Amino acid sequence: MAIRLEQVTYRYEDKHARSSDPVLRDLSTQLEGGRFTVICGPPGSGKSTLLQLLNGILLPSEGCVHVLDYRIEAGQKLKGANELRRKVGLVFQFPERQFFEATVREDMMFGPLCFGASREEADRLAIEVCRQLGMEEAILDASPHTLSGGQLRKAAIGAVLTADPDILVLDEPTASLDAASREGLLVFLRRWCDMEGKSIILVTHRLDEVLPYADEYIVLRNGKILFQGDPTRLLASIDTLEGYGIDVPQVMRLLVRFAKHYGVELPATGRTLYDVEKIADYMSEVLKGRDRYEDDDPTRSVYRDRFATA
Amino acid sequence: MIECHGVTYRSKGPGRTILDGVSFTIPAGQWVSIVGANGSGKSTLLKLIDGLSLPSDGVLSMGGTILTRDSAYMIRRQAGIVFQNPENQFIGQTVLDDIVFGLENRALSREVMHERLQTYAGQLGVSELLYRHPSTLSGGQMQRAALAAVLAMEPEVLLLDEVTSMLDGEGRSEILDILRDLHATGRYTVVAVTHDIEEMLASDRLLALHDGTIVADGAPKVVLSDEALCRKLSIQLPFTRRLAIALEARGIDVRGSWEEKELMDALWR
Repeated sequence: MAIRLEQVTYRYEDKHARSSDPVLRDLSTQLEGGRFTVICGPPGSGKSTLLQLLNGILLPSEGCVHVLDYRIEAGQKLKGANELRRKVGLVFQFPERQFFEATVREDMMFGPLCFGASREEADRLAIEVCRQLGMEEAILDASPHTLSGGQLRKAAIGAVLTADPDILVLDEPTASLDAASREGLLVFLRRWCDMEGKSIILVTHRLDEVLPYADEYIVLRNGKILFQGDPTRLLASIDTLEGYGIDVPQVMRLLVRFAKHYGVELPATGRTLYDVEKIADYMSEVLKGRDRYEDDDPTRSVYRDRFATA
Repeated sequence: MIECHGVTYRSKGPGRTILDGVSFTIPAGQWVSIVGANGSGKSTLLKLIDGLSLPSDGVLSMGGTILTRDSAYMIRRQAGIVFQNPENQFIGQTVLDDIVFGLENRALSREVMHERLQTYAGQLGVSELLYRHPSTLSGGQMQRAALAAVLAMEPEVLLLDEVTSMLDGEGRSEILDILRDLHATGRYTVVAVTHDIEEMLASDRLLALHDGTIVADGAPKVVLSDEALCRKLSIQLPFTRRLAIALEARGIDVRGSWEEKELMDALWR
């Protein structure tokens, strides 16, 4: 088990130590390792707070967070914080704003150097991560200011990957990227998760972008977990989530309404379903099957006509 | 009216050409989306139109004023710019401070300032938020406050640099509705850099940039119907449109749908 939350509550305290309403309320859940998990929810639902609890930047107000072999507990000093932060790489929103070295190489080497690697070792890691990200090595010697938005974002994520984390936690990593850069990044993250067997936890408000990539979804609302489950369960819960005012992806809404309208089963092929061609296959099969059925059975069309006028 | 003739822009230093001989005319009242992949020169073009940088070559004019080092301030008076990240452009401690900041700089009378504050805060639905600190606002609210501050200066041209890209679904549709309303008044020429397909479809015209040159210029649906071009521009068509194309390829008539509603009407036979 990579992560386990036990009755975690978090409140931000102001400078007079007065605490406000909890941002996270009594959360308990667990996440297996080696999976791509997406956390979403409306603004203020506690997504970013939850991320920061995972590597001990924030300590819970109540309860306990287990990450790998670490216990992050309310009111207790965190032991081994440095090592924990190497193992849980946190990528903040707009990580490219945190570049501070003159070259991409220096920035990518910074993490491993801090965690005690030699310069040679850090340099080797920077080159390796650069290759994994599908970027040309020449980029390493460029100044961060000369890269395009997509490259910069990748390089900034690379600067976290060089520390060789077991869990990569990302806050809105696709924000303001164009479609190609977005897809390139998500494909990379999926591959990193599959090939290296490592865990990804990604916060996003654009659920539609991550549908083909994620194994597990957590929907937060008012600091509580409204939903947790795999893509098939998510699809089956769409109506309920929409009822709670959650912004659901168009594709899911369309599929659910389509299946309901024609009285057919929802396709249950998990995340691999979210390919336009596959959805078109499913829909055209239903539509063509229905046409055949109607041709054979006149009562069915009569029913449909009555249905249409009603 | 905005006119751009053979505008070229080279960055300083190694001298990379970011815009290369760009020409177009935008009539008053038009809403134009500037689209293209990251690094295609979109934001540079927007900065030139606002007179924040000067072209290396070519002529740019707004409302008949040709952009030069000396006339740049006149151009900036006609135009108001809103950036991607609302947090980065908030100057005041409250929404009210932020809206009146620009007005104070113009040395307007208290009466005029008060009147404009009422008008534009009301129009953008931030009247209730005037005494709030920006950190207590949602992205959509902050972006509406930023737009109110820009509109209070009564510009003729609105320049928008990916104003919806950092917002969630709700924030995006809030801003999009406001842009539609503003456009409907006919008072504003809108030039918007965007990756958001809904925003593109809501506008009158797409100007597509690739490697610093204009590769397409026309009605949004016409430009976006060219699949090869979309790939080149790194534009992903909306899911419903891609599904409509895939269904058409399977012999299902979906009446050329673009929107969710159209597609549902066509499919729910």
